[in-house]
Amino acid sequence: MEKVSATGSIPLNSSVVTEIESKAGHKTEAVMGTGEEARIPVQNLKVKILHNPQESDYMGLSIVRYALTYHQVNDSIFVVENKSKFYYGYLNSDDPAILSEGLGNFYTYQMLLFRDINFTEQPATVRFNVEKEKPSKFWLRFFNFSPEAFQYVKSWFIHEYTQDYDFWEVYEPQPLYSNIENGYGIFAGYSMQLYEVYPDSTLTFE
Amino acid sequence: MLSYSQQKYTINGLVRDKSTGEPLIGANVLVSPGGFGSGTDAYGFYSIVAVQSSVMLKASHVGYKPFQQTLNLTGNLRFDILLEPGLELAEVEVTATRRVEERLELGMTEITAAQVKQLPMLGEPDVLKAMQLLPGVQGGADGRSGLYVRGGSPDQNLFMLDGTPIYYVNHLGGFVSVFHPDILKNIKLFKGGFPARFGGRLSSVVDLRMKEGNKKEFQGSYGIGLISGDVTLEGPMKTDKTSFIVSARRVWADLLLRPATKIAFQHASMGYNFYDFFGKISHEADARNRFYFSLYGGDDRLGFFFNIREDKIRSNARYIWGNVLSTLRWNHIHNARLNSDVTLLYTRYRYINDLFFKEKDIKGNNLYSTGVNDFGLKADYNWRLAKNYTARFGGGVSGNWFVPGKICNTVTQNGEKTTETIGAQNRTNALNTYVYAENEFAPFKWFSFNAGMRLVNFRVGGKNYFSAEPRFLSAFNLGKTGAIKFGYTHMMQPVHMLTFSGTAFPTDIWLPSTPEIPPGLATQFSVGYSKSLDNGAYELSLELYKKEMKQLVDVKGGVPLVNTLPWEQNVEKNGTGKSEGLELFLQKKQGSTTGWISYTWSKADRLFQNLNNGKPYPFKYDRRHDFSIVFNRELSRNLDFSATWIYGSGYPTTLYNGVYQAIQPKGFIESPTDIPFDMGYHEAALYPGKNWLRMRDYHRLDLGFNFRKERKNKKGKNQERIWTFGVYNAYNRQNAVFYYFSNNGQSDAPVKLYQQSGFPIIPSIKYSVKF
Repeated sequence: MEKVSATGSIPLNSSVVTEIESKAGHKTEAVMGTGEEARIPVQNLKVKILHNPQESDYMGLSIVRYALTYHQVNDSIFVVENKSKFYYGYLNSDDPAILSEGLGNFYTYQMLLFRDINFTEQPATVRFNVEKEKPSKFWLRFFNFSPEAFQYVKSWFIHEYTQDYDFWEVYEPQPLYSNIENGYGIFAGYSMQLYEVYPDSTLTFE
Repeated sequence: MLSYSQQKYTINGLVRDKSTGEPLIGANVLVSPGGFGSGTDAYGFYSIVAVQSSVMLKASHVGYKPFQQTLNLTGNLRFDILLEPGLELAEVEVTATRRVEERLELGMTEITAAQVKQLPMLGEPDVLKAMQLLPGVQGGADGRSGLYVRGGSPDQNLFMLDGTPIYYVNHLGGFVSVFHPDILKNIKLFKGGFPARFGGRLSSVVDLRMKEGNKKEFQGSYGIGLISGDVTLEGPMKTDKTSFIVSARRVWADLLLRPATKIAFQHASMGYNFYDFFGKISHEADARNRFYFSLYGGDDRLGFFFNIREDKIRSNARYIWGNVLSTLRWNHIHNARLNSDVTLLYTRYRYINDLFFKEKDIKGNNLYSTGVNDFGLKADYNWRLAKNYTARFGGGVSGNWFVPGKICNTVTQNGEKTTETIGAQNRTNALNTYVYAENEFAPFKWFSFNAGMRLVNFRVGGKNYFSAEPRFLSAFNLGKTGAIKFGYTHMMQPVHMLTFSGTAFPTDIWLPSTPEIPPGLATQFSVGYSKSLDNGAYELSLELYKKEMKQLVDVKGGVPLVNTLPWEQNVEKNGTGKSEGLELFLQKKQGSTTGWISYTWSKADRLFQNLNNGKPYPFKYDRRHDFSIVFNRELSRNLDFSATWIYGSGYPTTLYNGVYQAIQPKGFIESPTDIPFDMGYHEAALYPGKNWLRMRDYHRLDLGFNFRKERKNKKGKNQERIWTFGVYNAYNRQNAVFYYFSNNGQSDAPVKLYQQSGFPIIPSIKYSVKF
């Protein structure tokens, strides 16, 4: 039997959030197939991050929001299920520091991944928005990933998207990142900071 | 230093079609005694050296009656040869035909527009479909529009229309190429043994020459097919001096598709069409000077439209992509031995995605555009220095302007307009300069060679990429045994085509090498054996090749079209590729039965550090065995029949062969604090490797009939009507395009493997009239 081994690292909490600004707004988005553009209500967020220029920092942002769930019943009519759940907010960003990871908004609607090598200021600001129908509080999660964890999460989005064969063969199936020798899986670490955010507010941290 | 004796005379001139005055490319001219021969160049020009004053001049060309005439020379002579169309009689020995053993070519195949039109069609006769029947050339799976030559990718093919590069060559889905056979005179495909005058791509050069137009009388044709219609007109503007040819083709699909979708969806509709327009004016100012102006324009247009009149809501999404090409050329005969061609060229490829939205007092417009513009000047010289030595040399310079992707967003609300532009600063300019020299020398009757060098400098972003590209081709003619040929080429490719997802269909973006992305390089060795059989009626060739490519790029897995990252960071760099193969080609060019048999054994793979765990993997269109038979038979004066049968072993694909439980960094959660990173578990697919599985073998039979009927019109002029019937995939083989797993949406049902098949049996019909 072959020996299974892995190497990974636990990330330092080297980047920290110093300010979160939240403002209501809207975005327009093309509706595929019709050319129609829809106006979608969003919360525009600015997150200031103090990063460590001496270290390579691998970071992530996600939003958790509380919403009613929708459930499809047998006769294909969408009805509201009488139960609320927590969801990831649908994120969108044109911030170069985020788009520089090459994932674009195509994949990162649930989590934004970025690195401090793309920052040009200190503290750095990342801008993004989250789809939100009614203004209510939500939770922002800020992650410090190890390089392996960062690569794993990034590859997850691509792996999932490319599993279905593309008719035009523009993309091909991409395997999930693994750092296990003679096996599959991930050995890595991350840390997370959680912030409760209210619409149209600014939070600052020392 | 070369010197000539007084007894040597040079005969030069043009070889033309007697009925139209059209110069003929690749006609063979021979003088005896001496047996020295020459092939006409791209302008129908020949130059041949006679060693005594009384000689017999012979000329021949496929599809024309042989010509011969005795000449008494008192000095150098300009002598234009007129060849009469028609099949040569079987009993006439075609002595002027240069046999394959004598031709200094390797990895080159020539086909005529007439051959293309004779083959069975898929809706329309097509040049690239015909090329896919040649050894070493593949078209990918059904519905794919690429051309894969000796293990190279589609962007490694240089298509030149009248000497000008053209970037986008296939309409959507690969049904037809942009090259309408009615305007083409000659098509040459170089897969290896590239002469030094060609460069800029790693895998092939396709040299397409347009007709000049009938210099004697007006003529034309029109055709109505199931998917498109076309019209071509040509004639003299000044008899024997100036001629024109224009041709237009348009697909019908949108005329049916748009109303049909409007009925089906009420407020929404969609349409797709393409068109091609060709034009050329040829002017012979005098016996020494000829001028040409060629023009091509063509676009694919895909549109989605949405309109609710009562709510004053209107929006549309238009996708437009295609080429414009324009060439101005001056062909000059300096003297009996030297002629030149100076070309001013412009070519443009663009892709536009235009989204428009209007609702009451708000309207918005989102325009994404990408493209490349080339503007250049080049000169080519052909110097026949001795009966056995020809020097070719020339050079060129072109400016290349690339727009990797520009987004312009405009919103007008209550009369106030705001505009935002992203990506305009990414525009890249490059300067491409080259010189070349070829020396074609036959020191002995049994040995000839073409030794050349091409020097290229590609300047981009302040960096110069210089490449010295040696080219060598030699032939040993062993007489009745046949000929053995060797070729060595080194090529550099400073442009890359990337295909991105994120739109409704693949989007091709052409980008230059940059300081971070060096040009691709390829080295190819080839050795061939060729022999003509049955007095030249058949040609047999066998070639072995080995190609190594370096500094290849490929788009990173799943990267979307629109992102603000510099494109260099969206690609895997420094890839290598290896390709080797054996090609067998047996062709019959003359007689009432023509055609060929081709077989290719090949192996092509790629290696990128970040793909497939850094291990080599099969190229996407690696095909071990490829076999095709092309059969054309003239059954009677009015009826001809054609059939092609293709067999190819399966293409590689990537499928998972297992799943494992992996940590999933997303999903439902019960509260934001209970599970900090809600890393649930989810099935992840396990891929043994990239392109590890072979799909089923591909095979297909196509059939075609041409019924011709000639009659005189009211003016007493001959008019030919042609009914063309074709059956694509006659026995309805379900050929694999790709495989996929599915449980048909039932989560408790077992997952099964399915095949997406390509085109089924497709009959087609076309009615054409030549007048």
